[in-house]
Amino acid sequence: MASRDELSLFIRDALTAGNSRADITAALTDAGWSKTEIIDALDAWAETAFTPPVPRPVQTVSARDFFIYALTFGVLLVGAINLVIVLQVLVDLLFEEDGYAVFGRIRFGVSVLIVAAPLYLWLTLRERRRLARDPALHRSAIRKWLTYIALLLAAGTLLGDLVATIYALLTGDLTAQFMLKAGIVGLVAGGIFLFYYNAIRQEDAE
Amino acid sequence: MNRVLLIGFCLMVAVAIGAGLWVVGGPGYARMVEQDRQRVSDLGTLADRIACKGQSERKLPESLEDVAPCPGYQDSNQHDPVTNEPYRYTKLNLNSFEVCAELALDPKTPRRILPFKNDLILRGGNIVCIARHEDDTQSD
Repeated sequence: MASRDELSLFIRDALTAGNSRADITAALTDAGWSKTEIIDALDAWAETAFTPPVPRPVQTVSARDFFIYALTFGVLLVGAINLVIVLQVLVDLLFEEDGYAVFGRIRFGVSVLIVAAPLYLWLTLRERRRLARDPALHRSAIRKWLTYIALLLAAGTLLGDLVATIYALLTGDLTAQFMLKAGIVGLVAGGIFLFYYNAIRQEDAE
Repeated sequence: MNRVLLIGFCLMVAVAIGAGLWVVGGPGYARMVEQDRQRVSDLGTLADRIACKGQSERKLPESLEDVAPCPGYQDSNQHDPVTNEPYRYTKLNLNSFEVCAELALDPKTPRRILPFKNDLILRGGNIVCIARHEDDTQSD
């Protein structure tokens, strides 16, 4: 079984030798490559008469990207969790009299937010400026992966929130307090989901 | 669209930080709450030690200086952690006494603010006391 690297090399050699794309496709189909594999492999080379064949840009992986995006999404995750905790505890205090024990959680959550929120904002705005200046950064595979992971986590949280709400409804626990708390989770997770969903759509449109 | 979301995110965090700090109070307030907790906890251990249950023919001490060690009970602070004044010990009669401390914050504020025990006796000012009676089976 030939690897994709060999497929790519074969196509380059075939194009250099002056074969047409239709001939190459036929040859590869005979060899057992699937249609999508052939299209992907051919797309890696620009359709120009220029020889040798011109490669199209590919996704990149860099340690710098990993550092920046892992940091951004880590800060986002921790910050979002603590934002939800602080707001939920505040809601609890609205409804319950004896809440001294949760004061520590508010203090800790606020401490996290004071560190995480400005850092996240700075990282995100800085990255946006860099993307606007250098579109090559759009091809960062790590950026793409972490964006989709953020989407996945946000979607999972939203679904869990929905399930919890329906469960509370069925067990008769759907109080105003519960609805407010579920609403907070929905608002934070939904906001994050929309934010990254829009970013991806905007990128695909470009 | 994303600009709106980003601004909304900033507002939400600002509300959480602002409301959170408003509810829990600043550092000075937190320190006073902690000191008051320490005082109330001191009163509890001090009262246990003075009462020293399980020891036969024990007489209540006349003053804090006379408090003898009580086996099984930990040593207790006899002085206010901040002012270093001794806690007020009053022998009410042969079998009962009370210990009092002056708190930094008004103990009559709602319980959600201060973690005070239920058996505290509130006196005038910010003074709270714990009373014990020797014949009480449930004194704490």
